[in-house]
Amino acid sequence: MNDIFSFNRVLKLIKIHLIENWKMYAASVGILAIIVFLLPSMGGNPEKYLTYIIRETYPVIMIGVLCLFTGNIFGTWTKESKAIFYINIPATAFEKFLSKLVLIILYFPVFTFSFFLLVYIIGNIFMKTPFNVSRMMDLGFIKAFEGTGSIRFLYITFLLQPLYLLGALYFKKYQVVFSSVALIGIFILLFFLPHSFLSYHPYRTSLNIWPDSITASYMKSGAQQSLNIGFKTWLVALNTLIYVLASLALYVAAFFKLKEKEI
Amino acid sequence: MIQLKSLTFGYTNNYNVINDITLDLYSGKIYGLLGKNGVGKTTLMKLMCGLLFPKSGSIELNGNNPALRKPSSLNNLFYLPEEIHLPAKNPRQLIDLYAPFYPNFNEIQFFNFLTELDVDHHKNLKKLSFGQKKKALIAFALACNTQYIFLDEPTNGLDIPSKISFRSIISRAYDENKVFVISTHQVRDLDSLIDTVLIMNENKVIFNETIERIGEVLKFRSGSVAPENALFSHNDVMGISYLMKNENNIQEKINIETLFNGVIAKPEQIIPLFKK
Repeated sequence: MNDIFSFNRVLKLIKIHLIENWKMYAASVGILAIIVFLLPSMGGNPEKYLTYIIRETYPVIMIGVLCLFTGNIFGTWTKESKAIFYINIPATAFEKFLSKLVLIILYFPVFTFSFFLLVYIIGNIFMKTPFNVSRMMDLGFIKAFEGTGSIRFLYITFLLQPLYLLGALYFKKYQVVFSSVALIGIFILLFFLPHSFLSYHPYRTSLNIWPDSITASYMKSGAQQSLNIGFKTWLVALNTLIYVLASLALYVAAFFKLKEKEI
Repeated sequence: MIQLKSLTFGYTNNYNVINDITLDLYSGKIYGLLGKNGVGKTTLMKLMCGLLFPKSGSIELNGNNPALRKPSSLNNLFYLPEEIHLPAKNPRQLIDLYAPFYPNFNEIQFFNFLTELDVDHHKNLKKLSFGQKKKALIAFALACNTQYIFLDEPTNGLDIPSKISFRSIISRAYDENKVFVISTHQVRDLDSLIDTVLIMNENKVIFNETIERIGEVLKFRSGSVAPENALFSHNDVMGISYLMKNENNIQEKINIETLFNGVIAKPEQIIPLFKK
């Protein structure tokens, strides 16, 4: 028997997970549908709300869902009876870890597709004029991924995710509390603080530091302005390398934590 | 064969639950691991399955370290814990998902065991009672036909007819290549099932003898009064049960409960008899 790696075993593990957890995936799309439906139905201009959903809410929901999903998917290692059952399945720890990671990566496009499909359907319910794909683009869903935005989004996701995974493993007894604190923390850091600075800071300015630039946002004549200061190429490469290495190191740490887990 | 050498383990640095155990467990035997609550039976089983790692000493299953959790080792052992987990699937779906990992899994045997243990073949396992779930997992564990089978308190939650069926299916699943280790504190449940008794006390295995040897060395009686030369006596439903030295070496039927209580209460009088 191959004790190093078997792709066949990874596929079997993925099959087990999908068959046992399909309700969780269905529920996540259901919750998403409720959020997407509730915002434009609160009154006012549905187009404005849909723009808000696409531009502002999608990244938060995506990061939040991925983190929660990560905690949940590795939860099989935290409850004793489940962990015993799972650890005793004849496959290597790496195959078990990889099968879960593959699922998380696969979930990313599935979730994104579901999100925009829901926005498309609900947009057509609320708007008088047909809400087709080109109008959605006008509303700016592509802008969420425009230019360096998508790279920044991936940086945040792939750095937060293993951090969350490690957190879920170390604080297993308080996973719900930890999940809530982590999500609130993400929201405060990425959205609440920058918006607060813009509203209440004496100079009405906020700063976002990214691997490739610093973005300063400020209010001028009642409108939000942005100033983007790009870094030199070598500094961008160095920052990116630090991000990638930090993410990888966190994934490796999580793997060894799981591999050497005692029940 | 399972070999434990100077095995020591503790959940904290200043207290060892398992203290310097050296033990060989051979194929073709059903071991009854007996001990009071909290004495370390589950910990010992988890160490043998690689779910815990020793602080010092070693464990080998056919020369392999179970703590490495290699697929070739894992598909040769099955551990049934006291608290069990089963997916929300019916028995057919359970084997579709998990049986492919066990090369010797026998589907006919699995459904026969389920029938014998009176478990519905079509019901969602998650919706079964604790006892029913346990029986389903016992059937799965035995049908995997792994060489090493560790059952931790398998009769907890089982009704009386199921306990009888349990003994019956264990006897049928047994063959000379397998090692069964069954832990329990309900010693009567293992009556006429095990062929070697392991008794744990004070973080050690203090007693390791076959049923034949026990029957040669000790004799078990019950009555209204224990004789003066009884090594140990206790009250039970039969009145007073006691054990004595078997002077004539004719094989006696043993009473595991009396043996267990005697070894725990008077180890200094009983254990030396087996060293002669």
